[in-house]
Amino acid sequence: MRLHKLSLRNWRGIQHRDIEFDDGVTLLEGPNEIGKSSIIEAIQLLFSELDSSNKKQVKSVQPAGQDLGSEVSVEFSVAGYRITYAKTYNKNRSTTVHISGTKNLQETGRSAHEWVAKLLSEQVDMDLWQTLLVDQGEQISQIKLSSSVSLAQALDNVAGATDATSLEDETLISAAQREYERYFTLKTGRIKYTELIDATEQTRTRLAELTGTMQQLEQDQNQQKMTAQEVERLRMALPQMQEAEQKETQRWQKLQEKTAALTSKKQTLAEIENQLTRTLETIQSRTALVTQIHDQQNASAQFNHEIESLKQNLLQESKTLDTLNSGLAQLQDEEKELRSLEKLARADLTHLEKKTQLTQHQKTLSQIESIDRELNENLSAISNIPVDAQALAAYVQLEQTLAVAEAKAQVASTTLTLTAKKALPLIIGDQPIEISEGQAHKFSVSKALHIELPNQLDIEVSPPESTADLAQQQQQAKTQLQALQAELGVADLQSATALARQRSDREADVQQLKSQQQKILQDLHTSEIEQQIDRLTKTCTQYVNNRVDTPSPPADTHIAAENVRQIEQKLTRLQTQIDRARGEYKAQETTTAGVKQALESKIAQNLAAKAATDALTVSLESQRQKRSDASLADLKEEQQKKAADLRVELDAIAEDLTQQNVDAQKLLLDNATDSAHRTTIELRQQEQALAILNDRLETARANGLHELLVKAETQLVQLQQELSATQRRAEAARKLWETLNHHRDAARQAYLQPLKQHIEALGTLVFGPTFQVEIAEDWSITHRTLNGTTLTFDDLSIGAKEQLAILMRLAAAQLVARQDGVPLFIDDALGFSDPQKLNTMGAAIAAAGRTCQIIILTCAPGRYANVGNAHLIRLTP
Amino acid sequence: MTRAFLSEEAGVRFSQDRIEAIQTIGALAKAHEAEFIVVAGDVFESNQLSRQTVTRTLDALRTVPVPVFLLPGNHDPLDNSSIFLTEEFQHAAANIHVLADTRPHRIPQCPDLEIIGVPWQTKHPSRDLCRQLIDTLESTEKTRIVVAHGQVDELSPDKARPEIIHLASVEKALQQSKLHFLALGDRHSTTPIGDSKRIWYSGAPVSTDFDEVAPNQVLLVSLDADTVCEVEPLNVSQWTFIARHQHINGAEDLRQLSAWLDQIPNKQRTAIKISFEGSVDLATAAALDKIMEDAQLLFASLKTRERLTDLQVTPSSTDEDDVALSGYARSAWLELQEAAQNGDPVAEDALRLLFRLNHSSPS
Repeated sequence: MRLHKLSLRNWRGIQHRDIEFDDGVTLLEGPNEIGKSSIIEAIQLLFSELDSSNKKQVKSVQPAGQDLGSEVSVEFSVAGYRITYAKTYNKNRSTTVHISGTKNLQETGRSAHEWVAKLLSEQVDMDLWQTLLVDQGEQISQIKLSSSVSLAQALDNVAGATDATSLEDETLISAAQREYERYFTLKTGRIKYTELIDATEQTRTRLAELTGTMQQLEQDQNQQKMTAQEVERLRMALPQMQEAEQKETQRWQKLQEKTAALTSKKQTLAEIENQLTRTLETIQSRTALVTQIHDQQNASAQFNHEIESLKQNLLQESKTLDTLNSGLAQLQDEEKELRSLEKLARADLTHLEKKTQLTQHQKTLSQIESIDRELNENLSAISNIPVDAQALAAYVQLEQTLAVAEAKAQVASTTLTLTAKKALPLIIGDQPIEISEGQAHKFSVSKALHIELPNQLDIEVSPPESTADLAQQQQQAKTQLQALQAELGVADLQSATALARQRSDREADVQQLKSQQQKILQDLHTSEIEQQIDRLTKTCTQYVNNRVDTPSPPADTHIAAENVRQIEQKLTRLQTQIDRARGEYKAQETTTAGVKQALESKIAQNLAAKAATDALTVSLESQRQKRSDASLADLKEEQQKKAADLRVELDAIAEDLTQQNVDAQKLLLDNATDSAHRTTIELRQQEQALAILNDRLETARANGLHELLVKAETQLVQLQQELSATQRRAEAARKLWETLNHHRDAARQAYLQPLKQHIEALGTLVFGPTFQVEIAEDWSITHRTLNGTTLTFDDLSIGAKEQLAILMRLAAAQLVARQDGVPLFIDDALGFSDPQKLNTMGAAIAAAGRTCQIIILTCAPGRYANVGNAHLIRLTP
Repeated sequence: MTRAFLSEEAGVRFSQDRIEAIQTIGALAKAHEAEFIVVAGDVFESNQLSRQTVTRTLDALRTVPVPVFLLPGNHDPLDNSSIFLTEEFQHAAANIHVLADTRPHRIPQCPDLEIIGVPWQTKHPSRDLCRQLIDTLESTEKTRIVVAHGQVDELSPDKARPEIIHLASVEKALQQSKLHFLALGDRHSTTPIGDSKRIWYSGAPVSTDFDEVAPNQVLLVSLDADTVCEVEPLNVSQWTFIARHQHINGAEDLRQLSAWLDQIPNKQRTAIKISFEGSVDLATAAALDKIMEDAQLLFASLKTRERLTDLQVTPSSTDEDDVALSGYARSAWLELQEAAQNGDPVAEDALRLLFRLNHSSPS
């Protein structure tokens, strides 16, 4: 497509503007707000929007505040047509198209719009138009060229393919994709017709179930038939079973009656036998009673005989007992007499012993009295001697005390030694003392001492004050000694010692006498001896007075004792005799008692026998009064006869029952009952089973199983056919889609090289001969190499990115220009390029403009000055 | 299974026509002043039918103006689950009679005629029921019609089957005047049996399968005990089942196919299964597909018998010109073409799809 002219009226701020485009490069230069971008806008609205459009973007082109129609008219060439296409928007809306060239055509209104729209969709790659468009104010970036049919076709041609890729090819692959997507998901390739698969499987399952049900139904039919036959058979058999049971029951009842009769007669027989047993027992009892009476009577007679004999024995034994008793009594009398003599002899002996004892006491008493007299004499002497051992000891003690006191006083007192030059009379203290010539006389001055040389001299000696107490003690001891001397009647220790010795001798005599006395008296007291003497005297006197005359008393104790011994010997002998006689008597007494006891026992037995005989006799008589012996015998015979008769009957019945085999008959009856019962139950079960089967068959019939089966079969066949056809179509769609994609991808790979060559051809003008690019499968530039340095596109400067983006568009426009192509609009670009790059970019644009239509809009005068072949149009208000 | 060919809509029509066929038979009976109607077995497809089907059938039979005698056959034997024992049949109209045993049936207006049925009691009889009956019959001067079901030994491939009807014994009985007409059921094609002209299969009143001969008929029988026995087939239904093998090698064959399809009357009651043989290009194959697609809208059923079809589809130069593919699309075309020629059926289908898509694309 080539744009030739553009005319705008009342379009935004443009009142009227006509522009003629060059086939190569057209440079529209003008200041901001002059309406450069409105040119692109007007062309796009013309090709896309109906004149009736009320879209915001359409309304916005109406001049502000003016109710005017906005007119746009474009003259362009495409597919051999030269077309003038005009629309008025917002006011006086209209659309006209005038076609000239291969045919002349004038269309207006909607048909004009649709005719142009169809032509453009078929002949112009409008997507590429939009893609190549460099709009004002937008940062120029890489464009996605891979979706461009025109560019692909162009690349295809340049790549040397046998046929060019057509728009139809892309439509075809779209259709193939749609077909593919009818059966599969685009991304995952999953099957979409799973509902059909599921429905087929469900129907298959349903059919299998119905087939199973039908088979079950057929089984039920067979079972129902057999069950019905079985029910019929059982219904036929049951009455026969019941009849047989009835007959066996009747037979059994008869047997039961006979058995009952047998039992009854057995009971009767048992009763009779019991009665007979009782009768026989009665007879036996009565016979035994008679025997008992007889036995008792015989026993009684025997007892009487034995009693008489025992009585004789008792008499004899009693006599013997009496004899023994007499002998014993005699011996006992002798013993008594002898014991009297023994007593007298012992009394005599005692008397004589007491008499001897009296004499002894009297002698002792005499000795005691003698000792008492001597003792009293000594005691009297002792009482006259005042110095005893204790007094002597006290005396010695006092003398020692005095000596000690004197020694202490002497030690403590001032010693005064008087040595006489001549004999001198002195009075020391109160004591006149004669001192011989040369005699020294020492004094211990313990107290104030007055020494007087009579008439010549008085000397007063005073001891120290401490000696006063010692002197006092000495004086006190001396005083006490003097007092004791006075008390004892002695002058000195010698005389005191002599007296004390005398006293001691006397006291020893006293002690000896007392010892003798004690020895004689031992534990007795004199008074007690005196009392015993008195008592013995009286006793002896009394005994003598009271003693029998005979036998005469023994002369002395010895004789008396001999008498006693002799009597004791006699007594011992007599006692032996007595004991023997007593033993004999006891034995006889026992014998006699035994005989007597035996006699009494026999008498008691005899009495008991008699009593028993009487009782038995009474009982027998009583029984006989109730039933005589003869009657009892008759009763026995009668019962025996009845029992015999019944046994005969019982044997007959038992024989009959044996013949009829009761056990077997019971088994037959049980079997008949069981058979009838089992048949009844079986019939009921079979009838129930039949009812269930009939119900199931009826239900199945009502459900129309066959029709359901046919319907399911039909559905399955149809679903299988549909599924098979669907799968076939799906596989075909997949095959086609995959094959087309495979070849398209392969073709796209071939496109890259021409695109790369075109970009690099233009880029060499801009960047120099070392310029190279790498193109990705989506036809985007991934790397740029310059002077051997390779950078990714993202690493390039903004200016370089913009330049590469322009070069890519120019290359694409060049490639598609060979097949009509689309005009390339560049609105206010290259703002980031330096003057050198503007220069070289101008050369590249000019080179591209030789083969494609390029329309550049710019507000910067001179930016595109180096586009040598540009047709410059300065836009003015 | 025949109805599996039919769409749901056609299946409903088929079922309805089978009911309406009863009314048609009744109308024919009235028009030809028939005294009664016998149905020689397989009145129903099965004993396991819905009450609705039974009720509708009985309602249709109720409208028939003459007595109708129904014989239990192998599909609807008089077994313990027989449809003839259902409550619906217990309350059926007075003109409906089930030949449940071999006792003679008579109708008042024909005192010299008796009808004896030979019903199937089970699906698998253990003997020739017809012969069993005949052995009990005496010669009669009355007109005796026996209604039986099953295959005759003359036509059966398995003559050892116990229930096979021994034709000779029937013909002998005919000669002995033990019976004067044997109305047979089971075979869906209207067929005379033997030389007596008194033994007939009436055929199915409504065709049910592709291999039936002269179906859709009933027999109008004029009969007496002596000499008269005229049998006239009368059309009842219009259902047709056609199996066809078609050669397709070019446009002429397509035209013949179209013409053949066009001339078939009553298409909505016609089921066709067709197989193709030949070698065609894509354009021809596409045209064949179009013919089939269009015709499928008209017929009760039109199915391609894939199992029997041997149609080689090979792109021709005309096809290539026709599709006018370029670039990668052409490369894809060539690859598919080669695979199809090497016998890849999926590639062949893909090629046909590509051809169709290319033609359906706006140009």
